[in-house]
Amino acid sequence: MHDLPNDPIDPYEARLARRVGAWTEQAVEPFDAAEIARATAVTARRFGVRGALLGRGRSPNLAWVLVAGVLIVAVGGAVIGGGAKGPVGPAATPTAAPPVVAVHSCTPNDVEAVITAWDGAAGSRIATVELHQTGTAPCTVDPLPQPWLADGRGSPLITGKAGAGTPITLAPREVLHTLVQVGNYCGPAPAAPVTVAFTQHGAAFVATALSPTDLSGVPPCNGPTAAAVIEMHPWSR
Amino acid sequence: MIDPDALRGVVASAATGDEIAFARIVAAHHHDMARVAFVVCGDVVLAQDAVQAAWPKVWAKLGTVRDPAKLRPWLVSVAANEAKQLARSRNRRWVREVAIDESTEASPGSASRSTADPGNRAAELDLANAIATLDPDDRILIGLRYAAGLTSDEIGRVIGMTGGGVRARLARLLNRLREELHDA
Repeated sequence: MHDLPNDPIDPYEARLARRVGAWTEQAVEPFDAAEIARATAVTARRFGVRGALLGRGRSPNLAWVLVAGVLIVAVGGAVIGGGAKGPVGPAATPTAAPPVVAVHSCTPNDVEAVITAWDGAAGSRIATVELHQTGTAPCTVDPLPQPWLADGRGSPLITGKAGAGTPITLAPREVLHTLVQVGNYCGPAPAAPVTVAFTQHGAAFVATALSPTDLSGVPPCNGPTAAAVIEMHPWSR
Repeated sequence: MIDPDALRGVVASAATGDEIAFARIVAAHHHDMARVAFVVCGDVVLAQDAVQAAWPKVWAKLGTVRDPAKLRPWLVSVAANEAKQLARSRNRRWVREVAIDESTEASPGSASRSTADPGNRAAELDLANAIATLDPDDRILIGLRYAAGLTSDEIGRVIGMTGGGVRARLARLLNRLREELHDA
């Protein structure tokens, strides 16, 4: 509890400050500063200085989903590249064409998805999601990647379908927005936090959950015979 | 509390990734952040979640703190904003999950750990209820002022208002709380 600052506004402040001090005493819990610092540092070093994995409640298992996404992209690219040893047909004549810098498909190294709100609708839940470009070079995002609802272990609870559309080029620091609607989950109680994720070209973007314990995205079971649903609006600026 | 002369060095070291220096900052400010977060969200568990979520953001942006005297106001404001976001999602969940019988499941963050004295308990409930009726941004103001003890100018800098604006808004809030709590 703190003394009042030396810029008094009203004599009543002293009484209110005492009441607030007594009331907030219940929020003062023992903690291990070294452990908090260690966990924060480890997470920041492993996943980048933004520290989002610890900060917004992603479990380490979800982190592995990100790592797996990167590996899938990397291995997939190598296999595809290795299978095609060169152009088929007549040898191309070397020319002095200017170098073309290809814009690559975004990977979890380039973007960070964040749930900013969950809203309820009749029998369903709607997540408001932002996709932040955190890389240093432009990359492309499919307007309708495959959406899925993920539990705290990174396992899919409901899986949707990808859609077609012209990829969106996302510059560094740009932000895209979307809404994801989920409905009719009739499975066992999921591990927290529940979040949404998006897969494009083998890379999974797992959105940072609202909190480490958040389960507000679990939709009610409307009937086990009906299919679970997850749909998203196209990413938009 | 870290000695003001040493604070600059501690912040600089922590900003470069020194865990020990960062732990000193955590040790000095974690409780204040929890108190402020609690005023904003009204729930102990949610307040602890908010502070937990605040530390990685602090780690990532500590290098932007040029004046160590501004560290404490900034830290408690980060916790306050995290609590505001968590409270928003939590409130929505309460609205949606009416089927859950919360009456039989005591919240670990409220009644169970509050003061045992019935008179004090009633006073705390009155205060909690009065603060719960405030706008989230007003709860942040109350937390920063009366849980963290910040000056009007310090509050103004972290929430983007003038010190005079903060004082005027707090004066209105004080009048409102005084009436609701019958503290006249």
